Amino acid sequence: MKVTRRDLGHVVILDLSGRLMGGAEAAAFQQEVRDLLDDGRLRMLVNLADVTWINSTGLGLLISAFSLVKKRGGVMKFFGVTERIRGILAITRLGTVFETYPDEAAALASEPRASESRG
Amino acid sequence: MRLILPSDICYLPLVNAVAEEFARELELDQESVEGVALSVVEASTNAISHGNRYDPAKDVEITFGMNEEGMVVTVRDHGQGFDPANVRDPLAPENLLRESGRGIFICRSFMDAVDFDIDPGRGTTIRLLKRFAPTSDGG
Repeated sequence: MKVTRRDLGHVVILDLSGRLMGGAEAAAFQQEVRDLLDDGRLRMLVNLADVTWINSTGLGLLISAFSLVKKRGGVMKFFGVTERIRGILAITRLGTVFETYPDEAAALASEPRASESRG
Repeated sequence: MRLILPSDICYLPLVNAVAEEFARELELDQESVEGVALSVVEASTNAISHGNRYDPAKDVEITFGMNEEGMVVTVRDHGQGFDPANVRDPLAPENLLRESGRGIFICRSFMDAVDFDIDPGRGTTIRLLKRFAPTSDGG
């Protein structure tokens, strides 16, 4: 799995691609989230559009990141949820916990404006 | 068909690919095919992580077959065994954000039958059944 970061100022977008199934590559995602939190970046949008496959271990990674951000007073949202992932989120009821959006534009529209998010 | 794999999650994509190919023989819709494959992967993950504890000296044995009912997959590890009754309900509110514990639930969600043959101290075999898609005439 690959993780890339896009910094939009008031929010950071984390683009995930490939298989979300655990292992060393997944640890990179967790570390990226920790580093952002340590830098005071508390609002993150996770792009799942290019995640080709996910299992319960991958779900655990998302939960871990989500919970860590929430614990530190931040917000993590998800967008680009494919039908496959939406189905798994539904049966595990994580769809009731995760805030998800169909695409990046919708996710960004849900974010406070830059002037509102400071402080 | 039988796969014998080391206890390493890097083999899970292979398991998924083989499981999807077998599941297509059931003439199910694509969502069901993916669900079957995911169930086999979840059972395999449990065998690798909980059963064999990632011990490279312990293999996971996966068999794929068909009988009169449908597709039967067994996944066997060489671990200590466990009590299925002690597995937490992942849908309970207090468990929703637990990072693990959904594998068996996912199997039960997508498969028609999930059974365990546990030999304490020697290993666990999980048996997954997915029935053939019903025919249009109901037969």
